[in-house]
Amino acid sequence: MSSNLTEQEFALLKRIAGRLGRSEPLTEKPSRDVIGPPDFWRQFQLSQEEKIERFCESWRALTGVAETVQSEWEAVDVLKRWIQEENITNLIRWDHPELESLGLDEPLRLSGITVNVWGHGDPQSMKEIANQAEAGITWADYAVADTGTLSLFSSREKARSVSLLPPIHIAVFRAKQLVTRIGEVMVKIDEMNRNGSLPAGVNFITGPSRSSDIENDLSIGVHGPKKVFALIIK
Amino acid sequence: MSVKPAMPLKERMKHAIADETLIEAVKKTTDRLEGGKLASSEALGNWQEWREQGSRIRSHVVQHLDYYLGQLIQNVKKRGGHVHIADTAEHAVQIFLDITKQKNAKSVLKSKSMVSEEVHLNKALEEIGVKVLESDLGEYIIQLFGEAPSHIIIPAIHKNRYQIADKFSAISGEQISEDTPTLTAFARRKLRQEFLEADIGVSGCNFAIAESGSIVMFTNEGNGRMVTTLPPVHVAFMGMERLLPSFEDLETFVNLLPRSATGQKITSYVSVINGPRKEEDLDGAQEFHLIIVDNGRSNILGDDEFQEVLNCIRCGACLNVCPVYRHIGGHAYGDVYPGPIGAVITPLLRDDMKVWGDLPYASSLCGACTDACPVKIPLHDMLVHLRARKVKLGLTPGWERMAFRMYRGSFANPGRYRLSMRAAKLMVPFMAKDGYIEKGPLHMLGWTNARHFPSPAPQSFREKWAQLSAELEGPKGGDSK
Repeated sequence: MSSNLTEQEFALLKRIAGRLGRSEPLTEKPSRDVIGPPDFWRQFQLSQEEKIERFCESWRALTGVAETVQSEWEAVDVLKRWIQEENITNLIRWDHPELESLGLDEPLRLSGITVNVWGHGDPQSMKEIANQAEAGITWADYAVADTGTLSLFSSREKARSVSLLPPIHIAVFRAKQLVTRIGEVMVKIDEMNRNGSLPAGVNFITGPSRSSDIENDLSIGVHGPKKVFALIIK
Repeated sequence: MSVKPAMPLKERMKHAIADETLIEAVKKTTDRLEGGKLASSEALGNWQEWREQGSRIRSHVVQHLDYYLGQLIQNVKKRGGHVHIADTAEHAVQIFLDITKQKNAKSVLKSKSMVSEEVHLNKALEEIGVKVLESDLGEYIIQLFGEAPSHIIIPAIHKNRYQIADKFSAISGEQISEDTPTLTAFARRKLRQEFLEADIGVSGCNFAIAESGSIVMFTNEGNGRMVTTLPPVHVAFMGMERLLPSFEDLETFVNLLPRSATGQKITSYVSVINGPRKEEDLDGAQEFHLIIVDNGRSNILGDDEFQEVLNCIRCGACLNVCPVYRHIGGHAYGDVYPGPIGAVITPLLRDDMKVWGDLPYASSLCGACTDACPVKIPLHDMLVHLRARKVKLGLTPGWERMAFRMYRGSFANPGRYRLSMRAAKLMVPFMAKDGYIEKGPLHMLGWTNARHFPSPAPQSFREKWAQLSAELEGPKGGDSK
């Protein structure tokens, strides 16, 4: 294991090993009996209906807007309504096949809204477009019912900027992407790491950006989005 | 690094106590955070089992730190990140300055990093003319005032909205009103352009995942995401012990850390950075550097009395429950880490009991910190061990050593004990008035300056005992009918 360590790195490990009573740094994986969450927590499992309910409840508790629809067709209606209510004229979305197949762009453009798709341009101008956009639309990889948390994996088409720079973030996902505990996603990330498919960034997002730094007074939308929407397709 | 506080602890405390605004703000904040923590840990249930789990995972990592750190270093490199080892604070700063020079960077934008505070990064950057800006709202505010954080979680608790509005007005040349939405909107506007233009983004690291070579950050504002997504270079500072074996272990800390810190079930953002962006990606830093900082931490390893302090996940829960912290705030501790955790790790990290050995005395030893700690660090035991260490090093004042010698002398022998009790009683009429001592002699002044001390009872327990035992031994059931 110490094959590609620099002299300095090895010196630190050797110093640590020495302090811990070993002459050489440990290179064999130490055995352990305590891994991950406590046992009782692993038993925690909600039904599909409960997951939807728990997610919406947690999401709304943090000023998020959540709705559940039965079909893609209904989903487009809800998205259109949200975009109109928020007076959005310019948005950016992930280049995601699920968002593509919703067929959202056409009706929005017809009503005079600029729809930008991430990845259709050079990085610098993409960054600028995302910064100017009034809303960013993503498709969550997973959603956690327990805490009302979205889990987003980055890629070329699924940029981190889209859920971060615009003041409004709208996430869409199917009910089957819901898990009960965040640990279920953690285990999947471990698997991705072991099979070499880990993305550069994973973001867990729970509600809007917030701070209580001024006199303990909660304020929303410090650097990240001020308003967050979640749309669940059954 | 020989950092010395400007004045001794007692002086620093006096200054803090005199600042009523500060004390009010500290009380309000700690009450809110503590209340939130109690409510949310209660709602989660099985809090003790969670603590036990967290404590065991962290202890295991610290006990095998050579293995996990080795694994982390290998994996960060595998992902295309650069690893730097900083044995000391100066070293950490030098590494960062070298990166700055190599990148020809003009502006550095930071999200919260206690380790970067610990090594005094900002000062060094300012000295070479690089613009360095804090982006966490609280940190940004105190940077404008040129002050240090006073709380690990809420750094600017000692500033009120009027002071902040005046400061924002002064730097922008426009009138900024003091309501929170206006102040927040100003900071958002002001910093947004900086995020887009900065050359280097700096972050801390709540946990690094050994098995994947990742770093994980828990944030609420989104600035942590900004500095790792927008600038071309991302440099993360990490205390060398802040590791977990795998993502599976992270679940326990997602449940422990935010609840302990602010009472939230989870922070708005938990961001995982797995090295630099992929070749085909269009955002995220193109270059990732991890600076692993020792700066006194390895001295604590292998020390049975203190090794567990390296389990700390910097949540601030011990500050919020500490009666001393609540009365004096963070600055009085004189260094980066305040409260009980600061009183323990500052002398250890600095490895200087002469300068920092008074910190363990900033405690009532009530043990609230130990109960509050989500990873069960026995902080109050450590405070006692540190005091003992100070005594062994002969660093306590002469009068104190003398007083304790006398105390030992009289308490070790019943005859001498009785004699000293009688002598003390003879002094009472000269000191007490109406059952209270209002102005104590010598070192009792510290107490009697603030409150009265009850005068010793006219009859001691031992004197009473003879009479009491006679009553107990008395004829049983001898009461007349």
